Amino acid sequence: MFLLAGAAVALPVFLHLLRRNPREPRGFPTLRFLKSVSVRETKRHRLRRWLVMALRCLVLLLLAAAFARPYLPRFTTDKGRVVVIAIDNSMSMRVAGRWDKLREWAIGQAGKGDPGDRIGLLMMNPQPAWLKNPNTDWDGTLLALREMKPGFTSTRYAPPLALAADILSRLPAKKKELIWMADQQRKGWQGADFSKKLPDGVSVKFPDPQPAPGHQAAINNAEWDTTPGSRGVTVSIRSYSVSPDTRKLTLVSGSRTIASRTIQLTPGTVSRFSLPAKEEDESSALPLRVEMDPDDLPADDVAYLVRDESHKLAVMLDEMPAGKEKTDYPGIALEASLRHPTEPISVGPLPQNDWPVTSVAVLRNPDSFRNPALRNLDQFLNRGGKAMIFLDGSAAKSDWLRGKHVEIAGRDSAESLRDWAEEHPLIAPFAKLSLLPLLDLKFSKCWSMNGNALIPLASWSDNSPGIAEMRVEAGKVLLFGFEPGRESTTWPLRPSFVPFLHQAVVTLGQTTAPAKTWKVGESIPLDGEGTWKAVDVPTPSPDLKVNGSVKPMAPGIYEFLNGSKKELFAVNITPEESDLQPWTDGHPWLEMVSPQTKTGETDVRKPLPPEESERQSPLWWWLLAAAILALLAEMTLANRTSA
Amino acid sequence: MEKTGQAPPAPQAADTDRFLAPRERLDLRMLAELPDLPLRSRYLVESLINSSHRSSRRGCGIEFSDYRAYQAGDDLRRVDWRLYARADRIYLKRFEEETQMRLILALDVSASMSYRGPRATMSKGDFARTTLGAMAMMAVRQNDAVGAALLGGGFPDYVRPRSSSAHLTSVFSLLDSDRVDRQGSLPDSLSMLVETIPSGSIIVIASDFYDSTETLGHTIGQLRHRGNDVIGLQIVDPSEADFDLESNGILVDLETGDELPVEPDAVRKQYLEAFRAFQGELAGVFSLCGVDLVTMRTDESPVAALSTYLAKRSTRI
Repeated sequence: MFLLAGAAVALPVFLHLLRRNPREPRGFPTLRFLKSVSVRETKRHRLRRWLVMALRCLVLLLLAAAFARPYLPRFTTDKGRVVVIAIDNSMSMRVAGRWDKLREWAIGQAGKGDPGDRIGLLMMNPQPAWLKNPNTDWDGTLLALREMKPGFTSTRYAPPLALAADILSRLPAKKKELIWMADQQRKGWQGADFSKKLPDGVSVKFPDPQPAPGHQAAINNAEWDTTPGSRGVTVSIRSYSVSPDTRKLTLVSGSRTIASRTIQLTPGTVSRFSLPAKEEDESSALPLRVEMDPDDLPADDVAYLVRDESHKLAVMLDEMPAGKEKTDYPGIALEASLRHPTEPISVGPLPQNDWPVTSVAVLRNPDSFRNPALRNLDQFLNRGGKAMIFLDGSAAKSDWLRGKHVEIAGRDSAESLRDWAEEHPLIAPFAKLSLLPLLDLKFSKCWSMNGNALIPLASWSDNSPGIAEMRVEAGKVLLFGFEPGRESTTWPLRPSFVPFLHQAVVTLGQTTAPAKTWKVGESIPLDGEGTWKAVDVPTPSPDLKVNGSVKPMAPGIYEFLNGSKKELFAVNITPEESDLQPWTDGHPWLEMVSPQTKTGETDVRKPLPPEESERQSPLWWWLLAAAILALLAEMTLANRTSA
Repeated sequence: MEKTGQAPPAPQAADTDRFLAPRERLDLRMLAELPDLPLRSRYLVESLINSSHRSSRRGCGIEFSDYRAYQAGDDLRRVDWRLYARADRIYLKRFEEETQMRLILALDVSASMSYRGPRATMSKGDFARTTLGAMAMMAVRQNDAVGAALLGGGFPDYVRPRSSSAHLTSVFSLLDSDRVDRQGSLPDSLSMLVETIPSGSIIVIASDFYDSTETLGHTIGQLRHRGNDVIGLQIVDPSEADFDLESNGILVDLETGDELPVEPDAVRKQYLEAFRAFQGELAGVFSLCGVDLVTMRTDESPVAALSTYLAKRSTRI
């Protein structure tokens, strides 16, 4: 682009030609003072003007050339040695003894470095990345390799091989060695194009493929059993062993063993096993871990899970209070929600003891606020349970609420609900369509609530909350200031009643929504900024500040804390990495290495990359200096010729 | 204004003050725009006299000598009434009568004198005519006889010197002639004039003197030998003196018609060296003959030349 500026030489040439030819003759008193010098000086002057023009052209050309930053091709200095150790840090390297063996092999291949020699460490997984850039600290770099441990990701060999060879080819050195510290796993070479040659001048030292261990099986998957009537975890295990294998399978929650059984594994097949669990185990918020007797690769003998994704929302409905109302409108509405296509709700009675916190309690009867139900309620809420409470002016409810710093007051006149909190997850779906059906509701018998802990979702005419939400210990309560019957309101007969109750249960139940099971190396989307904390991981991991997403590199149970919100994530290894079969069809990777460099040494002079050549031969600098000198000469000569 | 050659006889200090006019009083552009030679000459003379702060009548050819007591029959106009007022005695001013002089104004009408450069307000010839015309006017006012001659190829046109005011018209008429001679030489023409003019005259020669200095010196020597005083007015255009032509071109010699492509920037230095050498040579010739040479640029006031003339005249009285 800058070379185009060289066309500017036309300007001085044009100016020169413009002044070249004399104009019309002019009279002058006498030429007696000119004749002796005119011809001689004019010739000399013309020569100077040509010189000035040439200098101006030269200045412009030199400047254009300098800004184009030319360079002379440079070649490698053919000195020294540069070594790159490409490290397969995938999970397959966790096979007992494999990492140490290959690491020592790589260090042995690297040998001792002479002064000026460079060595670098390139990790292959999850993407090729420098652990140590090529540097002259030979011992320090090898020490970093000794302190390194393999990870849990899967591997692909072709991209790091091409990258490492390409980088090496650009480095100036007589010997360029790539040490391939990998177990030559078949899965790693799958999809590689062995016909694609590596750059000349780079020698690669490959280790022999590592044999598959004889005792290897992997938990491919572990999930909650979704079969009706069943309760527990289903585990898929693939055996890579050469002979039948007997293992012990255990379901663990923290340090507590929930279930355990002995299983028989058939070589080369995937077997599914169930581990039974009690209801309280299933509904527990604690994460679970499925363990198998460790084999030659222990990393894939553990699977993590948080909760069953297909777990249905459950409602515990207390008995209908005695009174004039004969129809159980809430019960009918909630049972109808069982047939909801995406978020079905199962309805059941209140258990006598230990209400499960994953269920939502719907409480209408004042007896639910008297012992013994009251103790269950308090425990339920203390453990994080969620409840919907319909007020009826009973003393039991009012007393209980007063203990939570909420005062109940009856209202004399018929009311409507207004000031709906459109942003609340319960109201938002309705607000998105229309709030008109909710604004049209009539309440002939209703109660208002008053308390600092209340979050109003809808209000009566005097702005006192008619529907409100509040936290009680670890749990959450949704308060309705009316009875769900025709004696009190027209709402049960309106079309909005069923979807409203369903949405209320869903909204309360979602606070304990199960997490999806993720794979190592996957990017997990997160709800905003927070702390990513390892709960149960095979290797210690520090807490991380994350924002929007996180990419865990090790399996385990993780917790994402965002203010008061807590979310659990189960991260497991990718199943294909457990296949430790080596490449057995010869050594096709050797064909990728250039024949000239298989010996590991080359005397071929290779041109340096343009950037390096430019750095080593700053021709542009000399051009700029020459331009300045030419400019000075032009200024000097131009002053003498007035050209 | 550059003044070359032998220095003129030093005038008295009072004379110098009287003759030197502030140049800013003379508007050369206005001078050039006046329609004819008599007017231009008159404007020049008036500028000179006004600049001396003197009445044109009081200084016109009469010089104070001494006082004499009044006698019956004396002209009362010559009584010094101021002295009478101070001393209560009547005295007459006595003035020394002047000897009438002859002034010959010689104008070079060669082609080179018709040159006018871009910075000049008039050509060298017109500048010379105006200067000589002013001298003629001043001389007539002082009762001197004035004659004129045009020097060029062949015999010069000549008007004999006379002192009448009517004769001034003839002098102006000759000087204002449009005669331009491309051939001929100034010394030859001047040699012919030598035989014609009466001896003891003041001869003012206005020319650029682009001739052989040796021949010129010989001719001026002849003039001096006959008892004449000579004043040389070298008229130079600023473009000649500075050679500041702006662009390249072909220069044509106005006298010979020769052409020469010239790049002024290239030859300026050498031209100026040659020009100054000629000036020095010319000044040497005039000095050797005991003749004043005044170099006048056409972009500067000619007052200096007039002053030189008046100074020369004063030494002759």
